[in-house]
Amino acid sequence: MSAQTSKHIVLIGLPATGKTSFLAALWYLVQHSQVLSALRLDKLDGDSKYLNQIAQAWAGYKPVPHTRIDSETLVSMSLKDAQTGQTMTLSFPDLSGESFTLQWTMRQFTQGYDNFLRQASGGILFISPLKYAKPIRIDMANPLVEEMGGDQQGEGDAPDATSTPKPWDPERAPTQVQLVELLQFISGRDYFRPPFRLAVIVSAWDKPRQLKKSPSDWLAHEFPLFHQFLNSNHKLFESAIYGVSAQGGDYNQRDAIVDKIPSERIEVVGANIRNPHDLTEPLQWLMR
Amino acid sequence: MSTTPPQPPSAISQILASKSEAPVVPDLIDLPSGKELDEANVAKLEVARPVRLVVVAGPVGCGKTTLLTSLYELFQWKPVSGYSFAWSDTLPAFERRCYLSRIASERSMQDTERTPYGQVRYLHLRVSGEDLPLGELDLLFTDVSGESFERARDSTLECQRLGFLSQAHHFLLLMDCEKLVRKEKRWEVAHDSMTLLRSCLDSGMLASNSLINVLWTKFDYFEVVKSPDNAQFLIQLRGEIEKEFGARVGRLSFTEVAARPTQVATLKFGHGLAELLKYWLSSSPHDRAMNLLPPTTLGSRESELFASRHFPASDEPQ
Repeated sequence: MSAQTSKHIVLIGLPATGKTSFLAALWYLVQHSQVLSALRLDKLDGDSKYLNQIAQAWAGYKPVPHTRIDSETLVSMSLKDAQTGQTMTLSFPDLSGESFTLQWTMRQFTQGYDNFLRQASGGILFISPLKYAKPIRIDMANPLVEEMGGDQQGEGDAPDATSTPKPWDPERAPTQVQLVELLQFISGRDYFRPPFRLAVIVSAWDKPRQLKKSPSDWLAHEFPLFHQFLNSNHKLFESAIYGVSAQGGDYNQRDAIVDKIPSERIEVVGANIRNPHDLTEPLQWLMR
Repeated sequence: MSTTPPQPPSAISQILASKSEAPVVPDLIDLPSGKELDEANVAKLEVARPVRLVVVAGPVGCGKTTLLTSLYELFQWKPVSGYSFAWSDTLPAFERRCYLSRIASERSMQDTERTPYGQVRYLHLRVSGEDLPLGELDLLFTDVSGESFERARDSTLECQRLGFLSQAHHFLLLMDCEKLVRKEKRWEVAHDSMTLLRSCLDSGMLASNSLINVLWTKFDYFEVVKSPDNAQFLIQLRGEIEKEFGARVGRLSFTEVAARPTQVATLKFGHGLAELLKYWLSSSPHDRAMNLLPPTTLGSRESELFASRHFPASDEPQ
């Protein structure tokens, strides 16, 4: 019997981008035979309280608890490859989204995160399609304001009282810029060894799915600077882009999903996905 | 990569403490600041990768910073001239400069923060493209106050203090069309700009192989009037600049730019910038024969090492 391998996968994402929901759905999926999955739970090993807590919330259509900003929860799963029988331990740090925002605004990250990065064999970067800041310029917005019957000003006009600028706040920078910087931080570490496998997951995919675009096309359209960065740096980051709905839909309209078997709520879209409910396929790609 | 200036030691710690009942203060690692680069940062970058320096010159308010932020803004939406955004060591610095033109500032009119008079700083942008020799190229842009160029115009000694001039792969001389369309201002503006270029050449800071690009900035002010008089003036001014300087530099070109047009709808945001980017990436004076021998007074400070790699020899023919 071969020794069990141990892999570390770093989860990266700004606040409310679906990191914990992903873990919750994954923990449920690998324990149940409701859908075929590439990876299955091998055995329970150690403390599973946190995973059980979030998976319980997920199964009950409740929002998973918000990860505390000062929390650096490390969760591990002992999994088995359904085809080869090979077993492995996957470890993920469940960091709060705010801790990633602070990397951008305060230009620091924790020793714990750095240690985890050092060991990571790949990463998952989460993007929410529900809330993100775009680099909208005033000249782009003014025609819309005018169309809606509002007043717009030209560059030569005197500023009115409402024009007093708020001081620059880096937290309000476009989301795509913050994501680029998070990856630049990672690749700037002295231990970074390219290519670093990166699964980019557009979460809550049940929303953008209605636009009938692939996750990659959606990313290129909505996060063009970030998409250019990934393409330009394919030697640093070998990336695959997925759309994932871990919840399966909006919990405020749960009637649409309560009739489904829990694991079938999960939707995964992307190149080479064989089973559209198998959340472990992106993990398998990361470890290939 | 840029180095990290000292951070407030408890920046994140304070936030963590304020949000947690029993704060656990982790050890923190400083990351690159993302601020404008200084000469030491530039020297490190230049050692690691091929870098092209674009000097953006002109008086106060002619649109130097707006030119750079508008190029950065174009990349926010799509590749420019077939080149993709690949990296920037100065993302927060770009973002700060873009802020007053974004709706996030909650302003109703666009503006650009003035660059304060003081030290020389650089903004960094790496682009990728199939036709680039290594697949990508780093661009450094000077972000220097208009006052510095006004001093350089008035004194060759002051001009010689602007060491970056002699390292320029491209020298952009910005001439503000908002002023050039005003008959009472146009010759004064033209005179000032030509005097700046003359000072850079006479002081030996720009060599005979320099690539000089005169930019008619805020060109929307010309477009909105479209008078024969203005068109004739521009032809006349161009002719005069060519006559005065054409033989003294490697190449002299002229480009219409409207980085952030407000006067006419026919010119789109970033008008002229895509062509400029292509030109900067495809042309370099250092591709031609150039005496790159370091000066004999080579020091050991990083800024001196940087200078030694770029300064043309002092006997460069004028």
